[in-house]
Amino acid sequence: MRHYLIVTHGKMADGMAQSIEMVLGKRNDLKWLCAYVDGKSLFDLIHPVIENYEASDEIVVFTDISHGSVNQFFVKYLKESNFHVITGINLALVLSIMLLPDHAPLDAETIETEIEFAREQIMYMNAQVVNISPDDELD
Amino acid sequence: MAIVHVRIDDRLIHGQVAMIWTNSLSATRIMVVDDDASKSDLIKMSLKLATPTSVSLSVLTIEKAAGRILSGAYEGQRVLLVIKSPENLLKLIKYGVLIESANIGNQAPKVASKQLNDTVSLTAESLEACKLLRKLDVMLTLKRLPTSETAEVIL
Repeated sequence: MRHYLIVTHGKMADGMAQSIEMVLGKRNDLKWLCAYVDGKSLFDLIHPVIENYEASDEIVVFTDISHGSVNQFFVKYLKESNFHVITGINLALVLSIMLLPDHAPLDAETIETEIEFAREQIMYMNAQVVNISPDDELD
Repeated sequence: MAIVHVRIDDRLIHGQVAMIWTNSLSATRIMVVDDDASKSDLIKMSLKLATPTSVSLSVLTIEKAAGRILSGAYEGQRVLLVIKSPENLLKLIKYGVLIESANIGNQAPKVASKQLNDTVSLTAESLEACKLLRKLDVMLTLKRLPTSETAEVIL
């Protein structure tokens, strides 16, 4: 089974998860951890959750920022098969990955495509030109 | 038929929800049927921004939408029709538009409204409108996502 785990410095993970569940409804394949909100070390916080997954599970970890300790913690898991780590997350990216069909394999190409799509969703609104097409009916 | 899905949503078009349904339905057009939206340039612009780039957008009053639909303007297209409330859908049908089913996506809670699920609460007026829609053989569903189970509206 495919599992999603969001881990961030502080409570961003709480917020992300809540926003995700607003759109997608409650999910039993989604877990999230907020690092550094109590005295726990990253290992004590994260390791028990990773341990709990089945060997046959596919894990997708979403972290907040590439240079942060949270993301660095997961580098050691990159050698495991079926363990994906995606960093610099935004809502669009997490949603689009979670909406991929389960039966389709999660390969590098698929993930890179979703990342590109999410990147395009980061925009300066003031500069947005609203492109009205002749097929629109807006009058 | 040109209209492939009818969505009752008081937030009209918004973000990921719109994208998910548009993709799943392979919609070529989103038609917002709403008198207020049709009169506001600001609302029309924000609806345009929320519409996926490959999809056309119509924002029409209930009366004008009925006229356009009945004239067969959308034959060969796949239209996702979005309307704010069961009452407004009833108005559209009264102009002669044939609607077979409608999915209630979002209806915010109001004073004395009855909660049906996480995102749908209906006032007495809306419930009455739903009953009338049922009488007109419109199938009403509560389906959050295209992949969710279809729940029928219990009145």
